[in-house]
Amino acid sequence: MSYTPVIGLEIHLQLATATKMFCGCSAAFGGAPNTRTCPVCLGFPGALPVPNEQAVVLATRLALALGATVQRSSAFDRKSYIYPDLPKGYQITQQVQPIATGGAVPVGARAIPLRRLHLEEDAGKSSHGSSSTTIDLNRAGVPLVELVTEPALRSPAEAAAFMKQVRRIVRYLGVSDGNMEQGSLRCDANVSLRRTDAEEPGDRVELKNINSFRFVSQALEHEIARHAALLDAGERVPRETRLFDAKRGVTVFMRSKEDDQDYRYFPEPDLPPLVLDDALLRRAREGLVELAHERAGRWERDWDLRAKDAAALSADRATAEWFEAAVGALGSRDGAQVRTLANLMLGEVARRLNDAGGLLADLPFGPARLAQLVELIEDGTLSVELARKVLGVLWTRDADPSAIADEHGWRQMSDDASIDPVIRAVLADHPAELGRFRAGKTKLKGFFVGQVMKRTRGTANPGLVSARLDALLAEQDG
Amino acid sequence: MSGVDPAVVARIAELAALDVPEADRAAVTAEFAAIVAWIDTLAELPDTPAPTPPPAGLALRPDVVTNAPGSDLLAVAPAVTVGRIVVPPVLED
Amino acid sequence: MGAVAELAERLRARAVSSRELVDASLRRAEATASLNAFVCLDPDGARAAAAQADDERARGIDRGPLHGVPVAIKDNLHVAGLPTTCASRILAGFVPRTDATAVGRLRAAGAIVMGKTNLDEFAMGSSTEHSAFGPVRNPVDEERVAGGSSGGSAAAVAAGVVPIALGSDTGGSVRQPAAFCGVVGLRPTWGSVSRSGLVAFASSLDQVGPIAADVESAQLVLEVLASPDPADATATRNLGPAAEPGRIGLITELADAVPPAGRSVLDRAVAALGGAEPVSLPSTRFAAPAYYVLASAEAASNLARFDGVRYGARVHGDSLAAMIRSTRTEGFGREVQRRVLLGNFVLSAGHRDAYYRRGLAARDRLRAEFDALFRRVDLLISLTAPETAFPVGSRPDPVAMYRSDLLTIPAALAGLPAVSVPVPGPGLPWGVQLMGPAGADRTVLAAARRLEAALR
Repeated sequence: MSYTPVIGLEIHLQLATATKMFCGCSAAFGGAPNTRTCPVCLGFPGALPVPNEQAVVLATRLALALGATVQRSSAFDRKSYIYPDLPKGYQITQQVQPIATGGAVPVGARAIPLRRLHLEEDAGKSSHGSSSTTIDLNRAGVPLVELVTEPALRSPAEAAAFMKQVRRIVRYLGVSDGNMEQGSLRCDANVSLRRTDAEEPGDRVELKNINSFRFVSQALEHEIARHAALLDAGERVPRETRLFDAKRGVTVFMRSKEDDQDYRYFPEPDLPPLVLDDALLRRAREGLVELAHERAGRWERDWDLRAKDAAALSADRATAEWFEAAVGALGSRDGAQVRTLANLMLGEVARRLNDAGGLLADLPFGPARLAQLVELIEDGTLSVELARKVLGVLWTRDADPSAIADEHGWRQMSDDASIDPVIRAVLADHPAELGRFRAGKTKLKGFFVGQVMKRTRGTANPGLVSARLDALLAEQDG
Repeated sequence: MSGVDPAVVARIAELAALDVPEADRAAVTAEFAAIVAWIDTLAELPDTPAPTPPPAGLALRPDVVTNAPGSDLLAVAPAVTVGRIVVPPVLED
Repeated sequence: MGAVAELAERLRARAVSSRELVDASLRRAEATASLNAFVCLDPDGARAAAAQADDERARGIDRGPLHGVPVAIKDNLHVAGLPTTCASRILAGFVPRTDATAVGRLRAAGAIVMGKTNLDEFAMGSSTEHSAFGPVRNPVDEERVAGGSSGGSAAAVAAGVVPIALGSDTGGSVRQPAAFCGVVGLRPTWGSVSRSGLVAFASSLDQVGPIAADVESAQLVLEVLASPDPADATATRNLGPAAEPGRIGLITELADAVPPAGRSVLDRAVAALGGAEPVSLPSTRFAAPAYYVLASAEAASNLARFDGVRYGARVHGDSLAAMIRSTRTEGFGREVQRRVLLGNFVLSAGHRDAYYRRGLAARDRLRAEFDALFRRVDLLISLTAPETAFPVGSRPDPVAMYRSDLLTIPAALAGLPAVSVPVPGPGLPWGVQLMGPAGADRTVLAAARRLEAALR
């Protein structure tokens, strides 16, 4: 029997705001338990919610970036249920009129359609033990955006890729940290199997407690296999909510859909409708940046950059902007120069940043210096090896790369008149090797090149050395 | 037509996190049914929708931390350990 | 001159000091202790505040007409450092660290908080018989109720303990006790006074309002309270200036619901104001049921936070669920439990359309009908309650109690300003109610002052 998986995701993102959704408490991660709290987020009697403007701006920005339809008027509702980490006994969310509808997230060649995007508040954290449960409400009230996809994902791998793309996008926009391990990016999945030859959808199961990209595909793979086994045996898949047990790699029953909670939604009386004025929309738009995949595509088209390199350089917004500034500083933006620049960034610069553990923004030199370096390589003044040395100096202080090269005598020796004497000297000083070379050990050419490089302290243009060596050796022969 | 019987009361009591002791159940149900019968007057409302009022403005709050770290909780919480609120365990009922 | 203005004059003339006023207030509270109007008194705090008020006055600081004047606060509004009980066992031990906005504004204007007044538990009731601390008795006749839910505040004013008190009005809880006790009670336009620090009963209906010995004093309090508050996203409604009230409408459905004794009181008031034209509010018969649906729904939600987890009383349970159920069942009184059950019922799956949505629809209709009326008249008049204060314990049937709110509920559902003006008479006091369009509180009060003067 052949089945087609039908997967939908419900994603929760913690917004990168300074304060919580409805009060002026810090929304930062961590802190001593119950210290980032106040009467509002503690659910004290008499406390009232007042919405965070920046949360609205960020949610709107995300909606715009995803091509969703932003609702200029949306509303808040109360969703009631009892749980120790839900201080008011209800969550303020947007059920009936969310801030945005529609939109899509590009994954590979597909655009995965979204159903809606809305604002809500996070709950606190409870830790369950056998003799008690303890509660920390620091997280209670942190602003969340919930994204709901259409059930349009078709495989566990695609679902994991979707989550990664969401993370990339929200980090790019500065809307969220998108960190699954820290809980600023979470997802629940809905999955069913449809018989490939049939129209009728399968019975749906909800999966919770998925907190890494790997677990997204693992949990879905396990669940799909479980459904397939049931269906093959002629049984129905019970409609239920299941938890992913990461240790055992399986899903376990949590509750039946019949026991689904009655959330008793009704409009939040403490909050009038949320109306987005022109000023707020402007602010939301201002933060819209070309997203990573759009930028990478442009670089491949305009500069003929390799897809792999374009993806790597565009993945992080700060790096992408730095790279783009460097390219902008190149006198001529021909493909060769841009590729050299890309190689330097992905190679030497990346290596040094990794080793030192620093950021591009902290370096003493700016993107224009790297452009200058590339131009010096292109015109032969520096070999790549010498350029690396200059880069080493730039790492400690900002200066014109040309001046640095001169200071250290790192100009590439690129003329026959300078190189030939060195080659002759090397050949004269190594008669034994020369003899063995003439006898047929052609590999020794590398030795001679090495010796020339050593004597010129690496400044000889290796390509030219090789060519002149050939020429002089042939000369001597004849 | 009120559709209020002990089963309904039991379900609503669970949503409301209230116990209705066995001894009181009949009385509570009867009283509840009487109240619901009275609010059933609303069933006589004509179906035509009435205009909804225009929305009032919603004043948003600037994203600036105004609450100093500290805890209002410690002054009033019934049970706290190492800064965390303690409650009995969540058991499957 | 109103009571507060008179006190202000005497204070300014140094004919009396705040300390003396506070001491007199405390003595009066003690003398009338059998009324059970107070949940707690704060003699030390009040005396300290009085000393400060006198001190400031001596240094030439004058905070206005409320400077150094004693006030009582309904015990569902936070006063920093004093417990807030809401007349419930479930809030035992809860002491707020900051004043409710309304209280803070009174204190900033120099008023002195004498203590917290008794109420129906969580403001749910029309008689103040549903308090965990026992009923409040009517100063006019101690065998009778003081009305509710702000019975304690009304009694404190009527008994002369304080000239002004704060109450809260959700379906009539400021106006009706004021009427029963023979004092003035004002329900301001919804959204004009901050609800921050008021323990919520039904958020879209709750409003903080003054109870006072006379209309002018009530107005002085309103002026201090009514302005936007960043801590309350719904408190954005500004009040308009006082306008000359021209035409007055008498709502026939409300007038017809009143017995003859009351009808003659109403007629007297109408005559004193120079006449009123009959007008119709057709959705009146849906008002009380709609109110109880909507108020209970919001109440059930607002009271979900009382679970013994973070504050208040906690009853032991082997599991969290058991603890929460036991805490709430033992902590909430019978009437509160009734409303919480009803509220959950009307919001529950399968019932929401029949009840909650219809409640909203009824409310929208009433609003539209009021809007239409206010295009024809400037003010509306009715009695505040269809009766005078009834004997304590004489009304055990909840539905009978709910029905008696029918005169105050319409204005509450529509968020309109409404004031109860006492009509002194041979027997128990009646109250006459004036209502105006949203934002017209000052106009309503101007008419109320005329009525008060005419009836004197």
